[in-house]
Amino acid sequence: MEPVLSRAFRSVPPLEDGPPITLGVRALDAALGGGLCARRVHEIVPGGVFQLGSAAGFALGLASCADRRGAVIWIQQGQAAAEGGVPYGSGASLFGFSPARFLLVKAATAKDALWAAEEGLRCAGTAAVILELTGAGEAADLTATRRLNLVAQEHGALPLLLRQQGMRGTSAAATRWLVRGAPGRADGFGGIGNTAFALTLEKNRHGPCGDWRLEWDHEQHRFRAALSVAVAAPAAHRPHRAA
Amino acid sequence: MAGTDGHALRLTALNDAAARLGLHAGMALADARAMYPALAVEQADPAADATLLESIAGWCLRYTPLVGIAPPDGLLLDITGCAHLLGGEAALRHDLLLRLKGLGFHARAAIADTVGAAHALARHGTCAIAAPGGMTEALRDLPLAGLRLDADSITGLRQSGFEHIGALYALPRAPLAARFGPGLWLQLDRALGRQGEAITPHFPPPRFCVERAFAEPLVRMEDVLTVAEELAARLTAQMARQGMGARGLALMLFRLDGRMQRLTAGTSRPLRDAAFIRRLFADRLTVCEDDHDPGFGYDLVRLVAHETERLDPAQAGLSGTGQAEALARLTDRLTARLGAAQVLRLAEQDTHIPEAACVALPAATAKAMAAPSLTPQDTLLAARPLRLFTRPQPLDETPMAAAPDGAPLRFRWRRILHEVVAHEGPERIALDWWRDGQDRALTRDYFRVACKDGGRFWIFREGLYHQTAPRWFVHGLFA
Repeated sequence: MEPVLSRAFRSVPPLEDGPPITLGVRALDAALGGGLCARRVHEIVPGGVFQLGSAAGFALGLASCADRRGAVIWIQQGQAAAEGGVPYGSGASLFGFSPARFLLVKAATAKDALWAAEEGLRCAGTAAVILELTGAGEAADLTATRRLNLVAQEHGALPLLLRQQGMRGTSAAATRWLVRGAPGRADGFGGIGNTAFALTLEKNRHGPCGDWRLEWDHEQHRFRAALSVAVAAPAAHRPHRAA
Repeated sequence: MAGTDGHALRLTALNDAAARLGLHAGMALADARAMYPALAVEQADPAADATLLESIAGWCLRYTPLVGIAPPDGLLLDITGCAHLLGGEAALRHDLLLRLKGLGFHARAAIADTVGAAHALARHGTCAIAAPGGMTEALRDLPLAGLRLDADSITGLRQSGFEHIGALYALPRAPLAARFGPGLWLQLDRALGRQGEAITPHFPPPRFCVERAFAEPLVRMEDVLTVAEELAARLTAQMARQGMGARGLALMLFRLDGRMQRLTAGTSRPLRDAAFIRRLFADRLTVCEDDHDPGFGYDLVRLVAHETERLDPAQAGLSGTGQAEALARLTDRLTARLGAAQVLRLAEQDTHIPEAACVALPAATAKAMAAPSLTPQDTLLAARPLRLFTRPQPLDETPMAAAPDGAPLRFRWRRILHEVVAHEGPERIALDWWRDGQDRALTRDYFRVACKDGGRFWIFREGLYHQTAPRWFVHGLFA
């Protein structure tokens, strides 16, 4: 079985990276090798279930950088909505998405959710597909993410995989982000400030991993660095390369 | 068969052998048992009878697209314009009865101008096909029970000396209407065709319909889909001639053993694409494969568009339309497999209540939405979370606040303690108190809080401190 599989894998042509999606933060774009790969799965994991809001916001930010006109297919599996709520239109406007651009899909099983994600990626009017899986989302394993990569190769929409918890296994994603909310820059009125993210880039195919702090600009709809200097940890050990 | 009628157990149906013994429906079970102690009796099951009748109605769709159900035991078929396809009315009736007999049903059928007349002839008549326009003659000698009247009226009329329907023809109307109600004349007029009566179709009547019959039945689902695509090509050609597109489609599969299986698919935009129709039904089949066992095979496949909408030829390649079209097709496919309630679009509504201000509606039926009323510059926008819980989630315990009406200093939700570092609010939102029957104080004070651990929550206190013990909820998560 093993040699058959490895031969099959070798016969698949290497994936092509489309033009990268620039996030608008120079140091981060450089670490990603020019920007985010447009045709690969990117994994987003919240620091805790209560930070699903931040994780979803970061995903929408990436989708907004990728395409400002197409639709966002947001697939929630099983109890994901009960766990972390449903996307709320007025809140999404902060990320430059009018509610009309969303198509929400509730899938009972992970299998249906993955099918819906593939169909969503194949559709011409799609900017991004946000696939939200309950728990660690074990169904989106190496094979499933590879399939998503292949579909995205052909059609060019951005696949974003939002796991509610981190998964232990490997996946074919190009990057994995651990997203936590961060205190926003104070607005001078004593409020809670702007949307800010404390990101940990846990996996990066094109450069070093590291910690980043970004802010979301609600007027311009783009990321900007929350600190002047990015703190990038040297990537001495990257176990995913072995997989 | 025996069932309960009032307090007594009565015979509801019997087989030929029992009928020969002199038993009849409506007889008390105790009497029948007294006559024949060895009588085999089963409990009547009206619900199962109704289901069976419905499935026979589905089977009858092979004769006409318009089949109505007349409970408890009748089916109404509108065969206007259908009879010549099977070689005339007599041939159709013969074929219907023969096939039903083959399936093990004892049935009686009559063809007449009106529903009422067919009802009377099928149950009490001797002539199977009434001459067109001759309802008065055909019904003259039939018993009054042929009219669809309640039992009291029939008994009353019998006691007044009327036995046959013909006896009513020459009677003055007012006195009888005063005694038996206007229903008597209504039913008579309907039976005689003096008043119109429509059949309520059990299945939505088709606007466009194509079918194909097979001498050798189809047993593989792939073949069925291929046939469906071929039928879809004919259907779309029909629709194209009239400039229409399908919004609702049904694929009817008539199984050899008399079961009719019906697959439906809806579309969010008028559709005229045969290959896509095939894919829609393929998606439907993946979810309900178990319910659609071909058994010994299908001998008739019919594709019906029961809901259509104007679809003008569009010029391809203009900006934007291609994307919208692709998205509509995606919606249809997702809906076909996952169900209409699972594929949703967000719609904003003009209300201040958070749960209702932005609702998710089935994408297949929702119209394309107008531009949102709120502009991105609106200051309220920042105050709304990215994710909202459909039901507010209660906090584990009432949190400690700096002031009775103020924001909490820390709170525990889902067993995690969150330390508040900054807050905005309160924003008071009063609910529709006039709709709440329990007379609760439905005032909510919303706070936007940022916590030390990076969480940003939209929490609210329900109720006012001086009126009730307030309860706290998390309603949303900010980015």
